[in-house]
Amino acid sequence: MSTDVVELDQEVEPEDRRAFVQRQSREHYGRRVFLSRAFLSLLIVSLLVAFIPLFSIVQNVIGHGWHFLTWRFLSTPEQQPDIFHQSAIGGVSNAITGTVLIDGVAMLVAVPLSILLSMALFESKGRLMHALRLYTEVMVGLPSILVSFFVFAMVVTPFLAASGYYFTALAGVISLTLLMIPLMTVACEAALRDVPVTYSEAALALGARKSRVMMRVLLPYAFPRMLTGIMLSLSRAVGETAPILFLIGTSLVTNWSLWSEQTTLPTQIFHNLDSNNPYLRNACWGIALILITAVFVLNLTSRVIVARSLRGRK
Amino acid sequence: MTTVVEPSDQTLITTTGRGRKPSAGSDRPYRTLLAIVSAIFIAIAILFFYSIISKSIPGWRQTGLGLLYRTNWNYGSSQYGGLPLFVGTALTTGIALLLAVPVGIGSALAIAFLVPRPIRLVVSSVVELLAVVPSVIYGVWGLLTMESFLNQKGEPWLKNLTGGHWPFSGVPIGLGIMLGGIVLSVMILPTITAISRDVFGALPNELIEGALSIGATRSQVLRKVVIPACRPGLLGAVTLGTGRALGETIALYFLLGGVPSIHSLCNSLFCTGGTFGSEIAGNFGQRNDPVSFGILCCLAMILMVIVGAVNLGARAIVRRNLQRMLP
Repeated sequence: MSTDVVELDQEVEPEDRRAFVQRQSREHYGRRVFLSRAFLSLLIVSLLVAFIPLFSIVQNVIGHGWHFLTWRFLSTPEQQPDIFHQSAIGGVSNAITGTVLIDGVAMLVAVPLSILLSMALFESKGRLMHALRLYTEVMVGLPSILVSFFVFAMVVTPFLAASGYYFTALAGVISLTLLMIPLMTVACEAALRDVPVTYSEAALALGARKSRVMMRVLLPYAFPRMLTGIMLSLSRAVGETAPILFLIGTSLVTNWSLWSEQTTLPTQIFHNLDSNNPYLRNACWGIALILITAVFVLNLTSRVIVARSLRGRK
Repeated sequence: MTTVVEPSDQTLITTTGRGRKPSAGSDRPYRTLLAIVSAIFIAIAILFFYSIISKSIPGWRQTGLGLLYRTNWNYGSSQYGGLPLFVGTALTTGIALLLAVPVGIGSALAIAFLVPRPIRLVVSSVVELLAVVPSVIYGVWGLLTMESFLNQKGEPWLKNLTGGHWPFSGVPIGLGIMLGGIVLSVMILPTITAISRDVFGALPNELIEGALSIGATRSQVLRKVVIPACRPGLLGAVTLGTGRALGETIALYFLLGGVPSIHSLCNSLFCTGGTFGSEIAGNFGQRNDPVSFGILCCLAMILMVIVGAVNLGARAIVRRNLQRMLP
């Protein structure tokens, strides 16, 4: 290309110059278009490749799992099959109640705490609070199994196990709460920061106190985003296995007690997959179908909520 | 947040006309509440690190620094050489990055610049659904679907292709580093795609318009303007994906085939192995003896340090990038 430029720098008639440029562009046009299209189709191919795993997972989970969706499977508790009746595996009602109990209680504790924490982070400055924010943000990315160490070392060993409760749903609730709080706090603080600063300035200029600005201006405006963040965090927490697997044990009966052992859908999948019984292994698909449906519904609903609520703004 | 109106206040005639005295003092309950919540969480944060570090002391006493460089790992018979775990973690994460980075960034480019605007949100939501598939379901999918595929088709094909040379030597059995890495790449793909898409979305339009106006083709704009301008953000996206891959426990426990947890250094991608996460998940049952629990806490501590450092790095990269892009 550099020789062409030199050629152009010489004295050329304007007509020659125009012809030169046109010839150049004609010669390079095909190559440029080809390279461009090749690169763009490479991108489209990578997008399609990104769809393959999701498609394969959904296809397998539905294909292998749909015939488990019977009332009997959903309403009977799990059974431990013996050697002579390997197919007697029961259902999932114990895991469904366990999941609802543990995730529900954990959410009831985590939501107010994380909204308060996000308000505290939003309002405050200073080195200590900066460290707290850093800790919250790093906790989002840390492996969830670390929470289980913390709960086991600080709650189960000194308190629960000392009074004879080795496996309790309560320990699972504490663990999931600690897992949810950083996720929800980060989302809620982002929602508060998303409120235009002019809104709170106007309220402050009218003489409103900070608490009133928070209750009447910031929280109502940020509410849809907060709700989305909370539901997204919940959809992640429902599927978590690692932080509760070693704390809640297993329960083969349906019960609603926080002090007894419990089974949740993810831990039941874990134990089934870990066994050698082919029937139990195959039932993983059915439980996975229930779990994945719940998680996807939570996730997509929250996306719809945010799309709806943001439509009026901007 | 109702204000208690003191009788004496009502005698004050103020411009608001309602007899309320605007005072900073009445904000005190609110501030106290927030201070209490912050104090609780600062205490939890300190306890979190304290618990893992203090419980790992019996473990470090048992292993010494050999946990960091010895090459034989057998949890059952108390041989604690952690190097195979470092290698397993690095190899699975490496395979995952090798596969997920081109696909993730490519699909993010496609979503941000090629997919028509009306369906853009739908397409990106579908790709990001992969992020909420629970990791135990990745375990089910990997073990019951991908394992037989790799065992019967994928690994023999790779072996024939390379003539059985390193790193594709050994017997292709399905379970192992290769399977773990491939499933891990699917797990980190949505992280990379979602963050890269946000980075591309934050790019000022003037850059792209400027390049188009001087005659660049669309692919030249993407390759020579968009990607270089977004490089720090993309690095942050990849680093966050790395953090997720390093810390995965449950899925890898099933896929690496390291169930009797005996590992030595592996010499091919087909061999079984273990990572810090999968070893913790596989051996958490033996936690009632302080020394065994201490060893697990050592692994957890190593994991915490590595993943924490990676995440802090990613955070710094993304933040610096944002500060540079926003005036």
